[in-house]
Amino acid sequence: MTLSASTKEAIAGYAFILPVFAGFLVFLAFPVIASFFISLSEWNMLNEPGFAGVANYIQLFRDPFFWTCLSNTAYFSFFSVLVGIFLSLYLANLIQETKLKGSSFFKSALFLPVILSSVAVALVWQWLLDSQTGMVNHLLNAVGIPSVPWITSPAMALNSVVMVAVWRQIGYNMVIFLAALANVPDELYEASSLDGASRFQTFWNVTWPLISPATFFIAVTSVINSFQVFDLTTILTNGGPANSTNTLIMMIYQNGFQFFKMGYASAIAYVLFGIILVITAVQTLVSKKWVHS
Amino acid sequence: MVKRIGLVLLLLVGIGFGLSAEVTTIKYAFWGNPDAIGVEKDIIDAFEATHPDIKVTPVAVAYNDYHSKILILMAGGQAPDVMRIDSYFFQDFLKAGALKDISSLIKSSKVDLTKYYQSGLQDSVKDGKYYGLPWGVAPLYMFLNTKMFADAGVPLPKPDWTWNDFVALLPKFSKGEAETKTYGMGMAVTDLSGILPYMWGVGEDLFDNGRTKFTLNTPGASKKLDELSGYIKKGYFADPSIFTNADILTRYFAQNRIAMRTGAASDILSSQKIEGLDFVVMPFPGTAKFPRATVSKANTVGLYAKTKNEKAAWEFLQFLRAPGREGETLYMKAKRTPPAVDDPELWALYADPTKSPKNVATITKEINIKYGHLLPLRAGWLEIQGLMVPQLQKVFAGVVDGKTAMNEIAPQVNAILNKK
Repeated sequence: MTLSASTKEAIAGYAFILPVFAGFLVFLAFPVIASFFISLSEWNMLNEPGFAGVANYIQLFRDPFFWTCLSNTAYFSFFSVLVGIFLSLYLANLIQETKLKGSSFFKSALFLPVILSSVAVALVWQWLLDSQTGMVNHLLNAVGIPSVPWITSPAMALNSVVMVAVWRQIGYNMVIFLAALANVPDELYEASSLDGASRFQTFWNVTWPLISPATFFIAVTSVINSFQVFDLTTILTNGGPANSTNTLIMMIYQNGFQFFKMGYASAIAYVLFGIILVITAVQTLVSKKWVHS
Repeated sequence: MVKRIGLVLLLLVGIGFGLSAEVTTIKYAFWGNPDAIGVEKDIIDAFEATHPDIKVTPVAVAYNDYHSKILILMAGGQAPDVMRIDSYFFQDFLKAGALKDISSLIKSSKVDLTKYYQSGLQDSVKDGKYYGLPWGVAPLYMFLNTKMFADAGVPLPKPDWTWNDFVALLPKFSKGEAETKTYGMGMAVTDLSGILPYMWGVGEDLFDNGRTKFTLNTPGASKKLDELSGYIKKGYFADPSIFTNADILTRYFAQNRIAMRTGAASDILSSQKIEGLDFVVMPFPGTAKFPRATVSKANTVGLYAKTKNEKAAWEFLQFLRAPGREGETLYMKAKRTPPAVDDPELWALYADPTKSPKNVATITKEINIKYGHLLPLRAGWLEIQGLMVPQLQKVFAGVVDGKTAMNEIAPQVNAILNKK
């Protein structure tokens, strides 16, 4: 039986994607589906799972610790994304506009935290933010400002985590904004200048709409990543003090791997998935109004 | 010719099968660095050299993932035959029927249990039955900075010191401001073993005797929590929120900023590496009525309940943990875990006898006899700890008083205690 050229091409295509697809099925699709069924069961990994229906979900919504972790995660996401976008856009604009000599150095320096290990970053910042011997308070004291309990105060700790997260991520967002800014035609800036527009008017009416696809991309990916914060909060504050930096992913980890409550942990994971899905859907719907296509 | 070669080959294959059939392979799981299993390899090599019919395959997993990995292996039918279990998880593993009752094996092999520190043995026992042999037996000592005591003109206390003696010492070390501030006591509130000694000294505890009712919300316990909160406000205790891990506590202690702290045997080793740091260890100060206020804890090495290689696994477990066997000596030489038996020679191998604290062996013995108190471990311990620690942190941050904080979580803790 001879196969046609198009059939052969199709077979070759499927053969090439088969390894990746197999990996997708085994390591992504199957665990996601299995996790859903586990979320409907009570299972400590040693005994056979017992069907629990929606009991885990009901327990979850009645658990005050869940609401604490959710509000911490939402707070972290909101402020880290907002501040991150603002600062990275500002820096990208600054580098693009001033066209400094040595701007490559600044781009590299700002991008460096992105490639560092998050554990190493958290450990170093833990030292820097030590309320008594940390460098940050030492510098503040040198200019007459009293020490700040950066990671030891329930009121301050989450803000400190936001600060470290923004510092770490700013370079990545800046590089994307730089690429978007580079694609804005110079003629539009010239036209704007000829029309007598101020810098803000130029930015708001020319730059902002044209970089909106990049902004949308950064907003969506940053929100998704921020809702999954784990390493920073675990190393920097271990969820404390007094649960002020405990997040949903930490709650999943604790319930699944410390308390051996796999069903409950899976339920939390699915609720987190649902939250991220809803937020992303809302962002996509709203994007039609402000993202320039 | 071909026939001869064939016969020889057949003979060789037969011998191969015969040899391999005589060798039993067992799996031994422990936590550690999978890339550098160190003394565990030395122990395995030493065991295999004297037991050519048993091969031991190590299963090394980093601590944070270890117990969940063991559970996954069990769920997948790949459970190790011999496994180390942290006492925090011991009750959970027992409840799930993961560990084998080795009482009859201990009796038939005449393992002398009297040689162990008895407090360490209890963490391997349930309802009078033994489910493992102790590993890593050591109390939570009180470390006293001898330089700070000397500078303050205060003599070091004796092992029978009481809570009142301790409180009287606190103001003598609390001086200075900001970076130069020194404190009497450094206390980390990252787990319950840092808090319960204070409770035991006044006859309070986390649970009732049956470990089915939460009791840290009693008037006595609440009063003690508020008392500790008061010492933090006065500057006698360093702010516990600073000490998010043991390294920070060690750093403050080594920098002569806290005169007293609690610490485990591993903290002794890390502190001995610090040049110029001189300290002694003591039991935790109790009261005349309740002298047993020092945490005693040990981990367990046991056999999987459904192991198919019981004889070989038991042989290895004895080599690893039975008193007087090679495993204990090798662990001490490698400074991997403190002695499970009262033997000054083993202590000299574990902790450098030329460096402080030079009294560790004698104090450990006294703690075992007079001052030790077991943690009230039970199934759900870590979940309860997860609820307790943030509440305790709130109390010590002055956000809420002890009674309110404990009453807030009492229903949830009791629900965990009474879960079937």
